[in-house]
Amino acid sequence: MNLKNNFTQLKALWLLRYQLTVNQIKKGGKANVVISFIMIALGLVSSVSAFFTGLIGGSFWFQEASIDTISMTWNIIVVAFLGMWLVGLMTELQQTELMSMDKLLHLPISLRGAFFLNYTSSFLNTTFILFVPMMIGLAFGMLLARGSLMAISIPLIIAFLFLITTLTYQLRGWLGRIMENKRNRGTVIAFVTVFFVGLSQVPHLVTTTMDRRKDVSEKAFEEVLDETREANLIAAEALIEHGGAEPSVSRVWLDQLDNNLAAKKRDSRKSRKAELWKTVQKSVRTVDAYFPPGWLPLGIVRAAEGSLIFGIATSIAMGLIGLLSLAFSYRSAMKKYTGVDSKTKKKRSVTQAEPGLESKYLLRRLPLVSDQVSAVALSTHRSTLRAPESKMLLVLPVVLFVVGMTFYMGSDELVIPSAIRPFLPIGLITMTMFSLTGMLCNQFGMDRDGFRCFMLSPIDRVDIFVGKNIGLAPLALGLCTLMIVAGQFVVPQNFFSFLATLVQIPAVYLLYCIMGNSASIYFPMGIKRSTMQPANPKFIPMLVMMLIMMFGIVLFAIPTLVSCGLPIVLNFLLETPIGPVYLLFSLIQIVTTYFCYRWIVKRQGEWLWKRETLVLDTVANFPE
Amino acid sequence: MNIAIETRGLTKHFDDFCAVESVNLTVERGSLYGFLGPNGAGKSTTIKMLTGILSPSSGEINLLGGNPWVPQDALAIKRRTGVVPEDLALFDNLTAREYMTFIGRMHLMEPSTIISRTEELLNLLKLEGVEKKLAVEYSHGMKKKLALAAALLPNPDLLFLDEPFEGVDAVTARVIRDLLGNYVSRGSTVFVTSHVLEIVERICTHVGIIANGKLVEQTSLDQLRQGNSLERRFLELVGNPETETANLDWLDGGGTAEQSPPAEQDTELPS
Repeated sequence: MNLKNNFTQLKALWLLRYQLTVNQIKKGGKANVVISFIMIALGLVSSVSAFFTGLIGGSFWFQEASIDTISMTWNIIVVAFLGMWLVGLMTELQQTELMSMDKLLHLPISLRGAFFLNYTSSFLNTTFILFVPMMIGLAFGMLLARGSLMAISIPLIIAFLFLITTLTYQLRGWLGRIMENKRNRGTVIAFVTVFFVGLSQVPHLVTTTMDRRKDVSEKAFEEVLDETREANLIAAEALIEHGGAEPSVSRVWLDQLDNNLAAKKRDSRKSRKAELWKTVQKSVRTVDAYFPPGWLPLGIVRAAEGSLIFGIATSIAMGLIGLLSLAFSYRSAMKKYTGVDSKTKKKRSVTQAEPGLESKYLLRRLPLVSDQVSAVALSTHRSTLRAPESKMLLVLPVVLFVVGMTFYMGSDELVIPSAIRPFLPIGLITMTMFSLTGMLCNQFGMDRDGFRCFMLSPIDRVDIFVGKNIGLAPLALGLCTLMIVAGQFVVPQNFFSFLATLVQIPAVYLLYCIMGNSASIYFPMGIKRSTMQPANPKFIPMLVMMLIMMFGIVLFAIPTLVSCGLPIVLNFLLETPIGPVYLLFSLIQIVTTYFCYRWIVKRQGEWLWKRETLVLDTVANFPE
Repeated sequence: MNIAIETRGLTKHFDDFCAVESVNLTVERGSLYGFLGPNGAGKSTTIKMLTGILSPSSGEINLLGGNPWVPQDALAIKRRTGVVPEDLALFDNLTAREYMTFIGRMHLMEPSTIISRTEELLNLLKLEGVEKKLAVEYSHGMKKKLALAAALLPNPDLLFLDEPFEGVDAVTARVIRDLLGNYVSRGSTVFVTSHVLEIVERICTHVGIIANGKLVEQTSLDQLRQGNSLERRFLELVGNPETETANLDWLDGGGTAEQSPPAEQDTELPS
């Protein structure tokens, strides 16, 4: 009876989870249902194919494969699995939990039951569907091909999966607890994103460093060989000159020498490759020995070598680590849900600030603009700096910049011609604006209910736009300036070009504001709290945002490209340096853009007045 | 008669559904007008149309002598009105003081006035202790209190409150009641929607009742009650579903449900 009851509850909870998923898919519309159905079908096909690919590949290919090949294959599988798993984890962190434990605990179900269900539900993901059948297929294939010792791969796979799922579950729980505070949520997501992006760059950096070392040693060796050939040539010519040898004989002799040298070069490259492969293998084995997820490939390799002890020991060790991790997660969950949590008992010591000190910032009056514009600008600035979703947007261009610069500095062959150099900072400005599109082109998206406050306020709608544009300016302009200055150290350009680029930043920003303000009026999007995910994705606004990202950014960069390109053309036609024309053009451009902006933003104020109820309906009225 | 709010044939359609149908409201200046109705009757839709958040399908609105939907009048009306909308109008990432400062500056108030009034309102509504918190971290009740404080800050002539007592503790509810009473006694007007009939009965001078989008009654509180309680009159006007509850005769708390497992049984799931 007891077991029956438990199973009934478990079944009910699984059905609930299924129903929640189905409803979520249905909520996205018919297209979403069709796409989801196709994805599920593809997932099932992939899963079955992955199993048979593994089975067939393991049975035939691994029959005669070397130990190194087996090691590399399993290591690649493990790395790919972990990579995809981490991407899944990142995505999951950005979503609201589909079914949290809080929603179950008022029901007649034990905490252990809820915990068990919550943990097992984490298995249902693309990585599992794709990789687990492949791993099992490969393990069976190797069992068939290489004999009974390879049976150890099955417990190794199970222990590996247990280890990964439990550690991830613990990490998720820990991050989830930090993210309970809505203020921390986005910060955690932003830092986790940066960490993962950084982590994904590690293989690139390692490869670049290794290639560099290899290139240096190979070049040195080949230089020696070339010098030898040169010396031989001189010696042969001297011999012919002094009548010591016939030219034809000398030619044959030289050809033989050349052949010998070429063979030496080939051998040297081959042996270096073999050496590198050996080093890689050694490094991989070392990493595998000390990094628990690496115990799966190493255990299989040891079994292929004829030893089962390592496989058995690591299976048990992975299982124990997993159990320990699960126990920690369970203890944390118990503490959280039963309220016995030492951490929550600790009271945070809050230093009492002078009352009203924080709000004094918002009382400031900015020069040249009205009181209301100042208030909108300062509150937008403060809100944006605090909003977790904007932190993510602000981090993105910095990450892209660092990655790009690392790539540039790591490559000896990439030389940028001086004529192209002034265009690079424009690229940086465009990239920054591109990454801020979500903010600039959906200015009220992050205001949510706050937009209602604008509507209820006695403020001209044009002042809302001017205030918002001024409020975001320090972030956009600051980021661009920072990158232009940093870029100047890496790819220097002449002083006037540098100055012209700095003038270009506000000019480009004003152009993007014109585009962004219009998009915010006509194609607003609701944004879920603490993420940049659309709350109620609609086809047209999404399409417009994509078009803006793809073409709008380029379109609005045309004036800048013309300002930058014209002096180069003039220089080429007149065949003489023509001074700081780019700077002059940039100054003209910013003045023109400013007047255009002033004229257009007034119209945009009127457009907003007419459409503000529709904007409110989109940005504020959606279920969280 | 000095009128603060007047509507003629105010109507709102959502596709085929008519949420508010030809409502003719008349609210005198200096009155505390309670706008009542069951869930989904059209209270919030009406208040949204009056405050310029939702455009009416048809009809006329006159607010303090102007129409909030005419651009020339709108800003002047907004300067003289305070609103606590149903879904509030807070910025997630501002603290209470910052939000109040922002509202004050939108109403072109002097900085010193903003600071002193903010201090008084936050103290009165017991929000002074949470000034470090952002609005996103507030409970629903605290958000409501902050929205009310912000609506009162510019000392408006006309105040719209959509369910101001929902989620607010008893002490604060009392403070709000007293506050509104004093506010009206000085000649200002309040238009309030609420489900709590007891509170409406205590504070309102006039009452309008809306049901299924139609204004079914509009009069002074005393005339409406006619010696009875407001609840009784309200139920008479909007319909009383009490007979249906009698059908749930199994709901006796006796634990006789056949499906439920015995109390001593462990309901733990296999782990």
